[in-house]
Amino acid sequence: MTVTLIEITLRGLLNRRRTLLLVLLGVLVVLVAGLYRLADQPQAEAAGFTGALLGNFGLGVLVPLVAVIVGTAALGSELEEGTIVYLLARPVPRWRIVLAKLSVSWLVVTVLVAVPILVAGIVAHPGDPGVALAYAGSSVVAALEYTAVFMALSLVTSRALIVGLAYVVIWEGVVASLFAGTRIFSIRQHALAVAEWLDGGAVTAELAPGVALVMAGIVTVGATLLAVHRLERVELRGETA
Amino acid sequence: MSRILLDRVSRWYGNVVAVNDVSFEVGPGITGLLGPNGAGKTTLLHLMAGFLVPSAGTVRLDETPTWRHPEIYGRIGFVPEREAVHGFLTGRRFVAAAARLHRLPDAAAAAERAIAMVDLRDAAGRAIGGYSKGMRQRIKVAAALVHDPPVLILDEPFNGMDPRQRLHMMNLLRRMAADGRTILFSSHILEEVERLSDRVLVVVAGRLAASGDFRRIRRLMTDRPHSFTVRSSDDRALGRELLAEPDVSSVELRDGVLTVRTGDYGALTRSIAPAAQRAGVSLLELRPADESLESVFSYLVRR
Amino acid sequence: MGASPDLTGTIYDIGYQGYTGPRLGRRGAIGAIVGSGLRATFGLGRSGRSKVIPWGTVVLAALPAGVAIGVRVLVGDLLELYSYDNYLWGIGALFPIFVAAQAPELVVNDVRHRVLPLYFSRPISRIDYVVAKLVALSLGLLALTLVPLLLLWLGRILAEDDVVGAIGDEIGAMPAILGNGAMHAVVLASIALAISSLAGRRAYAAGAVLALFLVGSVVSGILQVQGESMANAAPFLNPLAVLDGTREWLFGGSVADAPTSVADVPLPLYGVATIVILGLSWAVLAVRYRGMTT
Repeated sequence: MTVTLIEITLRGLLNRRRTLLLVLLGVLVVLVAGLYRLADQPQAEAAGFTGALLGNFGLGVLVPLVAVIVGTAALGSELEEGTIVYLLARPVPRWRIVLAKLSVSWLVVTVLVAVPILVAGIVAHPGDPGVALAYAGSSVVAALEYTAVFMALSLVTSRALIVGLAYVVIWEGVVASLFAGTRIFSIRQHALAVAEWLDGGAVTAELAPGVALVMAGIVTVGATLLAVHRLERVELRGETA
Repeated sequence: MSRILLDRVSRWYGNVVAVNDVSFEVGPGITGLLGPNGAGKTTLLHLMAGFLVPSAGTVRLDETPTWRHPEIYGRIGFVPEREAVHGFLTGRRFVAAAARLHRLPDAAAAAERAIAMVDLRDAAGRAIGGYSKGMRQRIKVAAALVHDPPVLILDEPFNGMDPRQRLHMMNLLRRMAADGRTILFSSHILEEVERLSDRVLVVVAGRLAASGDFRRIRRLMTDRPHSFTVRSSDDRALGRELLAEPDVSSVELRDGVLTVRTGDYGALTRSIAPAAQRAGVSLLELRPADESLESVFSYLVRR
Repeated sequence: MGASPDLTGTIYDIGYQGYTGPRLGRRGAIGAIVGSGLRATFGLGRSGRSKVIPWGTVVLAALPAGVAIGVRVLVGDLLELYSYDNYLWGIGALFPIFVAAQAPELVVNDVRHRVLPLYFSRPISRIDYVVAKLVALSLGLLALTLVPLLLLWLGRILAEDDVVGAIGDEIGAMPAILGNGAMHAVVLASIALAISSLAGRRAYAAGAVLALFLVGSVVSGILQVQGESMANAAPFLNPLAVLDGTREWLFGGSVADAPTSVADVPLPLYGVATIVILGLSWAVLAVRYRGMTT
């Protein structure tokens, strides 16, 4: 049963042109790293560049963009197109549908972000692969948290992608960098704290890793519960509605 | 044997009332849900299938409310009107996925059986995205009956089917009904409903306008004269005689056809034979002229 | 329907008739598309929710000018938040949000709901359609790229006691204000419409436009501080930096902390980059709409 849900979700996500675009976004990170290497920069500065590339571009842009598109598509596009009825008209507990969709989306997002981040980090700064590993590892955590939030969002509003993009730009991008007090609710800051913890020094984050992990857990579980709650009560109307 | 029961069900969206205080029961056999576009057919079907919460009243499948009880889908097969399907799956995988989600012991065999029932074995290996409208409609039906449910709800099942497929689907539904299943389908094509259903439910503007056998419904419409066409050995003489009957409101002889209108369906059927006898005319044929579903339907819709 | 006992048929004349008067023709049609495009750009005639982003960004764009004028009037010449030169760079973050939200409104649903044949069955060509949409979005963008600077200009004049003399002092800035505002509007509109025309849904179009500017500015910001050769490449990854460089080339005045101030490249190169961006965008639009089977 879960296998069937996973198969349908995976094929629904991978069958689209947009997945190719998301791959290109990841390739872009690696490309920037490659150009930096080709420009033959002094190795001493490589650490700073790698941190900026993986932190600002990787965790700051790539992860939320990929997660918002995959996360809102997994359930949201089935709802919009109406194919969700073929999952809902079955005696399947709704939490199973949410968990299957969430884990597949997480997996897809992870592949699309962690691999480019790892490769880009190693290409930009081969002397210290630990930094690349730390950022890749933290991107896995961020992928789960973002995906859970965006999946719940897709069950709350039919304009989840727009709202999600606005959230990424305004909350994660502007508010959390201006107002220190809001950082505890910033997924990007959670991820940076995890990266610092994994790397042990080279990365500097604003939050303590313990706080960040606990907050990430609360947000993920909360969003997943919200998604289950909403899916149990989702209403299907006819074509015109 | 399962029944769907609606008890004083209403459903509104904001200020718009889609379904208004509807009560009925659907049992074994084929029931046609009829109504003009926008009358609330789809809303009603979605309420019955548990995809909408009633704003008031209760919708039950036997004893279980349909809303927020996913276990009812073990006993319901639902064919939605919307065409969207998981187009990237082959027909076979689509139906097999449904079977697996129903936790059928041998999902592959169940899927093959359902596909055979809708006569789609040849196309089962192709992706649904490339199916024609009629094929999509049939694969949706296959997915809905893969678990052999006692209740089948179909929203506009004949849309996009050619006449041969239509006939095949009607026969399939008849067979399933003969096995004691409860089948409810909506349509706005009167001929389909007339040919297929034992019973009709007519919804107009969100209200249940009539239910039951449509011929009976016609007889209940006493505020409109019933027409009969009569053939006899001497139409003119019979017409003259019938005019004297108190229940006959008009008699018309045109193009060799005698049409009699009466306010009382039963009275005429009882009085026509004596009248023919009095006129010395032999009665060849007596046929209700407007007892088609269409006349019933247009009456109810215009009321 | 057989409900009426009257068996004779009649078709009643309820007043429908063809239109035989003069028609507005191609110019009228283009004007109508520009007009409806402008309305879409500002969410006019739509729900309150679709007005939030366009009007919110318009207000935010004018805010620094308003504050500068207010402070000038109340306190005297104390606060110069932005000058004519760095104003658009300063409010640059608003442009991607505005075009990402509004450009898809103009073009995506025409394709998605398959109404393009209705346009092309009128006396307009496909290029007319694209040009009209471009004009509409560019005019709309002037509310961000020109109006705030005009406000600033007016405020600076009206705050002076000698208004006529102030006009004389400030009139020299006018060509730069107009030229730079128009250039920003046209280039940003072209980029956003080109990307939006490729997307199948408004949300994806918005995501793609936002992604382009986001990725561009982030990568550009990273490279800016990575030594000379990197810093020289940095502005060319960010369309807003390219526009700022072109402005500096055409009208002069360097902007501190912009990638252009760090990079050491001949200024005309920015002009070339702007032309390349415009050419690419228009080529995408031309190919997309010419090749579209409606």
